[in-house]
Amino acid sequence: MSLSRQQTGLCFRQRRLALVLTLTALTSTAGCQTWQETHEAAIAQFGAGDLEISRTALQESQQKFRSEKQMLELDQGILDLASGDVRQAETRFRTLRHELEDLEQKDATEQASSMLTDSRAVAYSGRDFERRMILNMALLTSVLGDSQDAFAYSIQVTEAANARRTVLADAVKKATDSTAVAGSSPAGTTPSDVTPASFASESVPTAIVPSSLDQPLAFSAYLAAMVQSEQPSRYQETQQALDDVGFWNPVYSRHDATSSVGNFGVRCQPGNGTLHVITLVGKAPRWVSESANATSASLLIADRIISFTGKHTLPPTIAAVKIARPEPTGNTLPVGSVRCFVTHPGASSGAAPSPLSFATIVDLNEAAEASYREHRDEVIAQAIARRVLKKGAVYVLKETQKIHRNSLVDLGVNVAGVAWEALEKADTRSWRLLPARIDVARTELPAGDWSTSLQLNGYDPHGSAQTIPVHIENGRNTCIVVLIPEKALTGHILIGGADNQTIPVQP
Amino acid sequence: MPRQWLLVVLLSCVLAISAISGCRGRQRAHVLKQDDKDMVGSHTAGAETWKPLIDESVGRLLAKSCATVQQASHTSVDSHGTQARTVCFVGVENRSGEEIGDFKEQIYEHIDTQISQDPQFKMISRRYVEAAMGECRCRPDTLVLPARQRELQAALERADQPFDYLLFASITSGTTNSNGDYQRDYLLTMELLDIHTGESLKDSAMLRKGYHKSLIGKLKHYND
Repeated sequence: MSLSRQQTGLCFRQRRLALVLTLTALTSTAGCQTWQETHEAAIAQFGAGDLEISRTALQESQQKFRSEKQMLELDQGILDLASGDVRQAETRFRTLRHELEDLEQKDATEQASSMLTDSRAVAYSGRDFERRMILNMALLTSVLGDSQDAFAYSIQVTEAANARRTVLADAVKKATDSTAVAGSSPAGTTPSDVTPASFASESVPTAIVPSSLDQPLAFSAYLAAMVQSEQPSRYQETQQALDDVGFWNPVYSRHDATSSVGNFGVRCQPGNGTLHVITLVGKAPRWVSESANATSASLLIADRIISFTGKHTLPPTIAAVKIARPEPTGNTLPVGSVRCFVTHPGASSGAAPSPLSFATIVDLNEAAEASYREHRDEVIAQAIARRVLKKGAVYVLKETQKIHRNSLVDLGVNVAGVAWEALEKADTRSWRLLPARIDVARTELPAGDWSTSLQLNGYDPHGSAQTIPVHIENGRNTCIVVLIPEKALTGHILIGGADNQTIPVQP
Repeated sequence: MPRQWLLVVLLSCVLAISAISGCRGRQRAHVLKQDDKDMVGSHTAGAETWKPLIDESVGRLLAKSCATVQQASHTSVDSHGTQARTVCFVGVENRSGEEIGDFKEQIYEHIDTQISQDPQFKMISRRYVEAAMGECRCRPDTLVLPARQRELQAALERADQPFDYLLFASITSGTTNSNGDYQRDYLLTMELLDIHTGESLKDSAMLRKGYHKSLIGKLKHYND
């Protein structure tokens, strides 16, 4: 009788435990949907050109979901920039950069928590290309503002590029070494087979090949060249920055070499300065959930084998392993859609000037895709480790609670285990208001006042051409930045460098 | 029994982790007393760097200028017979590898205030200087060119603010790396340029700072 009561008590505790586990898992993800909805609304409104509604939606999103403050603040930074508040944008990017650097460091609590839930438990610290873009945006906003920290940022981007180059060189060296080890004869090498050291040292090292993931570094180098080129004493640094542009984005460099686009700063002809037109086109790809089917199937086979042979059954892998992949957002204007003419205000309207030639310096769709490919295996490995841990926890629970195989409680625990696994979601957090592409055009002009005309070719029939007066200074760089998230210019046209002003886009 | 304990430990861990995870983001503040030490910036220079650098460099410049008083056209003499030089402080240039953010404004104000307190100097209000520089579209580094200098002089004279000296301040840095740890030397340089003779008085102050990933880094590089 007492045994029966004990068994009843045990059974009750087991049921309660299964219920608690299920409820805990369910409540842990509650409330996420609402902040995502307002975030999506903010992105849509930005595309439509309504910056105020977008800002309100983003603030609402921030209030609902405070733990990802940094991610939403990055979007706020782009909104500040579009609104013409360059100083606020710079402050935001500068602060966020340091905060995300801190969050990038591994935190034991978050790692443990992510093993129990999913990868979103780890604080958002930006993807690799996004972190590079934060520094780029800090440098760009500094150039558009008072340029007080532009020099410091230009040095930092050069350091970042050098660090990346070292990483790539180390990877190449490692690959070369392992190939050499694999290719060497394992045994029976006679003294006559040994290659003299002088011959070995003459072997050509494999070249470092940057991927699309490194394209943001090309933009970094371009901006660094703009800053460094204003000082004649930093000729070498300017040349290094220009070489870096070609190294990180050879396609852009080829375009640059074939078109007569003029030089930078003091490298121009005496009496001339440079006008740079930078267009931030489209919106960065959104990251969507993807099922790693092969991995899920393998896990299912593995847990079925253990369930069949082991003392206890494991929750079957019904819920697929989820990872995030980038998906380009639509409505991005193709390259060449922006027509830009520069004229002297006093020039006669007879001869039509030729438009500036734009080329893509960063394609963030490509960078995101490259980032996805580079980290895919690592993300899947983490997902597998998480599943194994969860299944292991269920197994330990059954063992400690002496749950009988194929009993009702066993079934309940398995259902709770499946639910626990099904609650996993892919980490789709990303900086959504980044542009999809950054196109650059430049021209060398005699110092003085000029008029720049910008129009979207064939895509904005109702939009009039935007006329932007700019001042060109001898040996200096002036840059115009425009944002085109969808089919029209949005917010303000920003002018920085030798000239400094913000002009609202004319409807 | 041990099995049940194992379960209890497992659940406690989960609860503890959840509780700790929820603690991030709570910020608190307190008001510092006069004798409280400044916070030391872990990633960049902060109050602990800029305040002593300003004090030292301004002090040195004032001491040096005491010995080299020269009569210039706009130098005024006060009721005590002290000659005051009229100075146009054109700003702080950041030539370091580190962004200084909002400190730039404070560095300017500290230098301006400290020099103003010396009876030898009469500082032109920053508002006049900024308006005149904006009018001339000139940067501090171009003000050594005679044409640019004349433009600025003319603009300030129109506002009844003539000057004899230009004051430049610049921040530079030098970084030494060692396996992830690094030492950064900060140098604040002040240069007082006599626009009539072209002679300049220059002085600087340096502060060295070590940045470490861990306490071991500090022990390894500095033995303390």
